[in-house]
Order: sequence, then structure tokens, then C-alpha cells
Amino acid sequence: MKNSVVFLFGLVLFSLLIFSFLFVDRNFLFLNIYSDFIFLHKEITAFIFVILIVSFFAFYFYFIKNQNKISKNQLWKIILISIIISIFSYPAFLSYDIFNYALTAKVAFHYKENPYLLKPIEFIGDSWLPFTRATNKVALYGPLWVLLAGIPYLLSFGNYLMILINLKLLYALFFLGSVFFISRLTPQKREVILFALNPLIIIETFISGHNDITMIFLMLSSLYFFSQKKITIGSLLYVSSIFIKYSSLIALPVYGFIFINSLRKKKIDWPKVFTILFYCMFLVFVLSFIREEIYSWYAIWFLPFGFLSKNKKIVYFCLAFSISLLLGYVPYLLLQSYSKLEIYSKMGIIFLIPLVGYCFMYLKKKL
Amino acid sequence: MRYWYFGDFGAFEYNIRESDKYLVESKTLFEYKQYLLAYNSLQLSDQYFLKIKPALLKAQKDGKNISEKNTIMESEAQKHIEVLTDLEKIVPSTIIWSPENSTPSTLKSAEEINNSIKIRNKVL
Repeated sequence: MKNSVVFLFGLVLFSLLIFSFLFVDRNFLFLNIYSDFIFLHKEITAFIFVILIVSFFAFYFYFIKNQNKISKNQLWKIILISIIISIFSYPAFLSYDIFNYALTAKVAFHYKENPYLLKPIEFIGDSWLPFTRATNKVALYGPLWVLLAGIPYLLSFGNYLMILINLKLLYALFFLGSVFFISRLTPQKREVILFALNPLIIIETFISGHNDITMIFLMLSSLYFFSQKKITIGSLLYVSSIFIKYSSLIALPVYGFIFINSLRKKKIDWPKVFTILFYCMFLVFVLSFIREEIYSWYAIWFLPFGFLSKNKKIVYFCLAFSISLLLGYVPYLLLQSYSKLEIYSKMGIIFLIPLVGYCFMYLKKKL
Repeated sequence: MRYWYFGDFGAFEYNIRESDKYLVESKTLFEYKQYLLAYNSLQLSDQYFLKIKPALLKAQKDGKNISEKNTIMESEAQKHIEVLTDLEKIVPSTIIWSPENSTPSTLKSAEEINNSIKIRNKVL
């Protein structure tokens, strides 16, 4: 693969990095570069976003199509470029969750209080409160995540920007670990590219800074150790994933099945296991609207299993959802509010694109 | 359960919770004339109430803003005083409690309720 392609890909990511800084919150005093551009020019903001997302996907599909031209070293180079550039983006570009992780860590490690009992808002006068959202909620994630978030917090020595970078560096470790285990679970390069260069996974992990990659890393590593007949470590890793985000609990019957079959030394049909895991995780994704609403980063739960399933239909389905979930942010960018109209338009985009894609493929096959 | 409520604000929440719980228990027992048990519950409620302010002072010392928690503590004290004042009206001042198989004891209930009110008044 030509270096110019990699350079252009890096340029798209760099544009995303620059674009993210348009979203700096007025109260985020650690970066004094607030601009009201996104409020004054909502249509232009949404347009730039769509262009960047489409460009990102264009490169993604190009990499998938030309997988044979990409050497192993080049692939790792592209992955590292994606991580290094996006890690420095302003995180609250599409979601504010990373600020909550930092504040939860502060409640536990600075105030030395139980984050499952006390809401951040109870710490009146805290300088992080003005730009953090959902401060009226106690910790939502598993205890293992609270402990892990403590590492970037403690290593930042009170520098807020360092906490954000450290959190993303932690994700980088889990992301690279996930890529490694995917490459071990499948001999083909295709699945690695599908996962590692997926725009949704990169944006939601390294730009928005969601912790879902941590849970996925533990689930994937668990599968790898089960495949190597290391039952104890495999079981421990899966149980750990539940203590990061509870959604992996839905996969308990599948992991139970793997556990029993590993004990009985029976052969496991791995592509079938990945397919069932994909369905399980997709089910939690769809059901997430019961709790709140469907968020695009929840797709990280099912995408890796979908790619590993090697089922062509599932892979297309995952790709369609990756596009639709990211474009689902457009109504928010146009309205700059969480109104009913925004939610319904978002849902429309999320489900309509895969549906249109499916109809198109069906008709193409029939005609 | 106490260990779940670690931290200064945690201790504050825990002691408020326990103090409330034993006060409600005591009120119900007094109403059902289970004086000895009611008396013991009231003493427990007092014990927990006494720990609320020290937890807040510790939080203040640790640099936490306690203004909101202070308001909560004062409202708590006022409500407790209201309940205790109502109890004072229905509970006899002295009760001779005679269990079936042991020696009778005198419970100075009015004195105890008064003492509980004093404890709550101290934080106002």
C-alpha cells in the first residue's frame, strides 16, 4: 500500500482532531479556546462532520478491499497512527462520559468517598462540576472500572488534561490488546482490519473516550485463553468483564457453555460461538433503550463478535450499523439539544440506513 | 454495612440513616407500649445521631464543602424533635417494666426523651 494513502488517512484523522476542538465547553477552563461556532453554524458543523465521517469510512472500506496489499507492519503503523492522532482530540465532542469517569475516580481517590453512594454534585464547589454532565448520578459502572480509572487519575498528579490523556492511553492498551487477541482468534487479516480500523470503534474509544473497549478486551482475552485450554484464567477474565460493564453478563450462558465444553475437553465451534455472542451483545444493545436510549458506543459490544463470526451477512450488518450510528449524531449537531425530535431523528437514521442497505442488497440479488 | 459507607460523607449518611431507623423503631414500640425495647431503640438512635456532626466536621477539615449537608442535618434534627415532642405527650414519664421471669426495672422515659431532644437541639 502506498504511503500517500496512509498519509491521507492520517490527514482525515487530523481534521477530526481539529474539528473536535470546536466543541470545547464554555466552562472547560483547562483549555481556553471556547468558540461558539457550533452553535452559530449548526448546519456547517453537521456538514463538516458528515464529510469527515464519510471520508473516514471511505478509507476504511479501501483498507478492507486492499487488505492483501497491506503488510503486517503497515497495518500496525496505520493502527498506531489512528491511536496517536485521535488520543489528543477534545473528548466531549459527541459525549461527556469521559468527564464522568474522571470525576468518579476523583470521588473515590481524592475525596475518599464511595462513588456508588455519593453523587459528584454533592461535592459543592468542585472545579470539575461546571463542565461535567450527569453529576446527579452515582457511579454507573462496575467496581473494577472505578479501580482502573483510579490509575490514570493518580498518575495525572492533579492535572486534568493529563487525566484525559491517561484514560485514553489506558484505552489504547486495551484496544491494542483486543487487536492482538482478535489476531490470535482468527488467522485472517480481514477481521483485524475490520475491528482495528473501524471508524466507530476509533471515534468512540479514542475521541469520545468510552470505556467499552475495556470490557471487550476482557471478553476477547477470555475467549483466547479458553481456546488455549486455560480455563481458570479464561473464566477470571470473563468475570472481570462483568465488573467493568454489566452488559457482558448476558453472555454468561455462552461462556458457561465454553467453560463446560473446555472442562469436558470437547471441540468448540468458534465461529458459531462468535455468532451467538454477536446476537447476545446485539440484544443488549437494542434493549438499552429501556434503560436510557441507544448510544452509538454500545455498538462496540457486538462489532468484534460480528466481525469474528465470518458470516458475510452479519459483517455487512455491522458495517451498516457502524455508519448509521455515527451519522446518528447529525440531528444532535443540527439541533444542539437532547429533544424528542433529536432522539426520534437519531433512531430513524440508526435503523433506516441498515434497512435501506439490506433492501438494496436484496433487490440487487433478485434483479 | 458500615464499611460500605466509608468516607466522611459516607459516615454522615450512615449515621443519619441509622438514627432515623432507630427513631422510627422506637416511636412504633412506644406506641405499642413495648417500653423497654422502645427505650433501647431511642438510646441507639441517640448514639448514631451524636456521630453525625463529628463526621461533618471531619469532612470540613478534609476540605469538603459541608453547607448542604449541614442543612440536611438541621432539618433532620428538627424533624426528630417534632417526633420526640409528640412522643413525650403519649408516653408516661416513668415506667416500671416488669418482665415475666426477671426483676422489674424503672425506665425514666420522659427523661430519656428529653435527653434525646437536647442532643438534637445541640446541632441547631
